[in-house]
Amino acid sequence: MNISVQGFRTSSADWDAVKNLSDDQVPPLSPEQREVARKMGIPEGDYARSALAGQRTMERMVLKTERFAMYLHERFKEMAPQAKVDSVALNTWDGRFEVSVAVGDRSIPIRIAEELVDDYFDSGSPEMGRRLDYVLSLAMHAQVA
Amino acid sequence: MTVAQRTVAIILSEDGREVLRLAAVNIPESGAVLMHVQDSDDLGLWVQTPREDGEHLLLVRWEYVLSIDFPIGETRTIGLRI
Repeated sequence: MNISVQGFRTSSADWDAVKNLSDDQVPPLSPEQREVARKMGIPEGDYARSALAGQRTMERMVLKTERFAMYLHERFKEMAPQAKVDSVALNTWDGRFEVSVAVGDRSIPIRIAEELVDDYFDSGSPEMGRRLDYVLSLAMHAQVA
Repeated sequence: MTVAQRTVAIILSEDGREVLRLAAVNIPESGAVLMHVQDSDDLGLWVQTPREDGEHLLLVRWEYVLSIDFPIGETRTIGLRI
């Protein structure tokens, strides 16, 4: 199964964690990054902190996507055993997970709001779980019917 | 697309730079201003700014924003064996 994250984002938590680091506590910029910072008139230290925060957020988003992929794998085992999750991509530009599910020789695309997944993972509430299941079953029925 | 939850380089108009100075925000003499956008709406960008008593949110109105730049980043892909 392919797991991917598209786009760059910096969470407030990761920004807060790095913004006060001194210049020697952040990874050095690549020559290309240094050139961009110079051209834009941004202090190198600020650019490096921003890059580090983005890197940390990326790692979190990959983990979140992986967790959601595992969740989908388990849910489909119950809901539609014939379905196999091929890929799960988090598109940070429009805040959606783009899932591709194979049923036989068909590939079914499903789009799910990141916010819904966050709410479910954060709260663990059965109600959120039911909403997520509803979105999945709706997408599957719409495509299979 | 949203710029919320991204650290972006903002090119401000001269008025915008003046407004930020009036708001006692430290900005470089020239060039882009790097800021973390907490949220954005019809009014503008809500950016985090450090103050003596902690972090504040500051509204940068759209009329002062000439351009916004941030890296797209590369798609990160991993394989998951199940």
